[in-house]
Amino acid sequence: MKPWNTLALALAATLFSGVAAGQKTGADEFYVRSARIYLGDGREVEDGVLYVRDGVIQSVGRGVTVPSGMLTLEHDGVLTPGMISCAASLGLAGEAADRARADMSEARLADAFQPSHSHYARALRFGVTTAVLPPSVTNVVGGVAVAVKTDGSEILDRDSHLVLSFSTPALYPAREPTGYTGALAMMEEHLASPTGVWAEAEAGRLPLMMYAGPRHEVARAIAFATEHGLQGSLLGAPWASDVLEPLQASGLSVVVGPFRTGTSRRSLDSVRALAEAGVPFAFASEVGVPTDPIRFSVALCVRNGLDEAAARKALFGDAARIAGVADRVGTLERGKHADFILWDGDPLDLTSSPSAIYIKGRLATEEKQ
Amino acid sequence: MITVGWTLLALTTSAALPQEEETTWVIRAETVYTGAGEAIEDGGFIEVEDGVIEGVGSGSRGGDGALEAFAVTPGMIDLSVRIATSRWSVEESDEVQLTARMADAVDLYSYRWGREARSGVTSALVSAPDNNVLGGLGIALKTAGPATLEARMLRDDAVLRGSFGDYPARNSTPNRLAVGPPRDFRTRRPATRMATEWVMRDTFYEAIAAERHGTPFDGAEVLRSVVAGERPLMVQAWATQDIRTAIFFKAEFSIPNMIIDGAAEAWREVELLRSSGASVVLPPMVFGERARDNSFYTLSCAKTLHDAGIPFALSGHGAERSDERLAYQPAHAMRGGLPFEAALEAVTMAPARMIGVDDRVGSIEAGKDADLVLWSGPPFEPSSSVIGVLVSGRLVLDPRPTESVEK
Repeated sequence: MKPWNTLALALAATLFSGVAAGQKTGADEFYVRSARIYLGDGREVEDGVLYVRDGVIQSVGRGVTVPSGMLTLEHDGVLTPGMISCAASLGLAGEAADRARADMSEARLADAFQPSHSHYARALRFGVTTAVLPPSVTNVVGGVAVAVKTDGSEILDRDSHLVLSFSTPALYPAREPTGYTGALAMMEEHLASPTGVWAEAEAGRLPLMMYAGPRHEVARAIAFATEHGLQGSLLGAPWASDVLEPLQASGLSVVVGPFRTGTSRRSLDSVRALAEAGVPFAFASEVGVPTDPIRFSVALCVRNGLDEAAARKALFGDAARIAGVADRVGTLERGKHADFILWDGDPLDLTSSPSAIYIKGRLATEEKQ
Repeated sequence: MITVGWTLLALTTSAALPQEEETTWVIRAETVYTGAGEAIEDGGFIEVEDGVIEGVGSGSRGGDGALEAFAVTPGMIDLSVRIATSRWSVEESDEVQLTARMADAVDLYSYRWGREARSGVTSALVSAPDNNVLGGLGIALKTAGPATLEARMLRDDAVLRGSFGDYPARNSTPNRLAVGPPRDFRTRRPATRMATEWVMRDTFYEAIAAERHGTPFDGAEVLRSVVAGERPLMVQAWATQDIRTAIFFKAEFSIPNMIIDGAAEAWREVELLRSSGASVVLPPMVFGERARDNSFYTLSCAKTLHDAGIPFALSGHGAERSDERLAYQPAHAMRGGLPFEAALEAVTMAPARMIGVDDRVGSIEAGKDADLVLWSGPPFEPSSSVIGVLVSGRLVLDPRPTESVEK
């Protein structure tokens, strides 16, 4: 124990030592011993310990020794980081799309962040602790996405992505542009003399999130990013693995899903192929509904042969990188936010559910009944 | 351990990739219609190396590995392939889209590329749907190969596409109820033939005025290239009045290089067409009904143009029905009196010349792309079929009988 730990805390720790998982610790410093820990980067640890102080992870692994008398949660299930949805529509209803104009470059979804909406509590209960909220893809330039904690405690990144649409929902005959060429011209014009968010994107400070459907749209989005040296991710792109070579060369990631029971095998095969080719990917949540389908999407992919370690990376570490918040969340590492979930089984198994969810070391949900 | 894992992953990945496609072949046929001079009869061969024709000659080469057919012709070229012409492939916010590039709207993953390729069409000019008066720049592509523009490119921005007649006006109606604002772009666009023609002329006059006054004009470069004859103006015009409009337009603005697409009623205006210097792309034959824009198309139309010395090509005009595709059109034209050699030219060298790609495709000559069609019998005869197709040396339809299990 560090010498500056106070006697009072030691006393409190003694009182609470060995509490059941999910109980409110109320302590600023505690340990969690878990039968299995997924670190979020694809690695796992058997019978490991997570040490949290002041909402921040101090250490994690097998070698962490718990000083006698310290508050320790004992968990015989799985401990993981909080899940991250790279495209969620939480409590936005019609607020994400302003269809009056196709170019909403300077619009910020952060201005529609409304954490008291019931969607947030539900997403949190399902284990999603961080979510990227993109503007709707019904505009060519949708605006700027926001990355938030689902307990409403924090905006992680007010300018997380510039959201563009290369697909047909943004094109219709009542408004300019109505076709692919017009949409591309609109975006190219911004880059001819970039200002504001476009200058940020061009400087590499604001990643793109590009919505694309059929493969020719995907190819066009990749070509656009490549030509202008822009980074970020594709959103949607169900058959992205058919455009693998330019995708790999571009350095873009892919936000896939959500997948349902009716999702074609080919879309699930694409995710597997992305994993095998080493293209980083993460999952989107169902648009307009709460976030539980993220685990359903992952489970479908794993059933279709997606490597489990790749699936775990996609839920946590890779998702955090794609969301642009990997410096703070997504993996269990020293210095990162103590956002973690105690599961009663493997999160890739749909019969499991979270027993307790912590955000910055605080219990964020009530104990499972 | 980690190294081993990566090696395994690398192996699996490379195994999953398609093998490098074979692009070196010898083709043997009873007759080789080279499209450049006399046909090689009584046995000829074509040597293809890395997708390019290396040699053509009479006699036999290649041994057991050769591809065999009754006859070989150059790959067919269709200047009016309407692939990927969904409503989103055309920008409709303005009826003049001089700088819209089909390269930015084409769908290289469309199943229709494979259909065209397997039917013997090896090169295709794709333009935006004719919802606009001036629809932008069409692109000439190979019909098979990797799904990238670079790999498939024959000629970028090959033509400026426009349309006379009913097409740009179709569905475009004024707000008949005259209540409230227009619902969408279609309620304010040209609604008649004369308005369509007026928009086209207006665009050219505006560009001329802008040049005279030194004011900027969006797409001026494109119009300049058209007036200089560096890029054809390809206009759709099916019926007589539209063909006449196109010819008058060509004269009015001294456009050196005009291609009239559709042109079902070209047979009615032979003299005017001949003296205008325009070339013609004919539509697929239809039976028992009018062609588009309520036009009359005749079996003898191609022969009439041929006899008058008017450069023309045949096309499938984006036909979805298999019997309207380009491979069937020479047979109809020949039934209307067109000689075989002229029919062959109308699907190979003639279209290649019209868009300036005859240095790469259109005939079987050493140094040209190995775009070849292998026939089971005399080409274009109704009893013959396309049994093999090579596009840039890639075998997209294999003429060899399926190998038996025993072998």
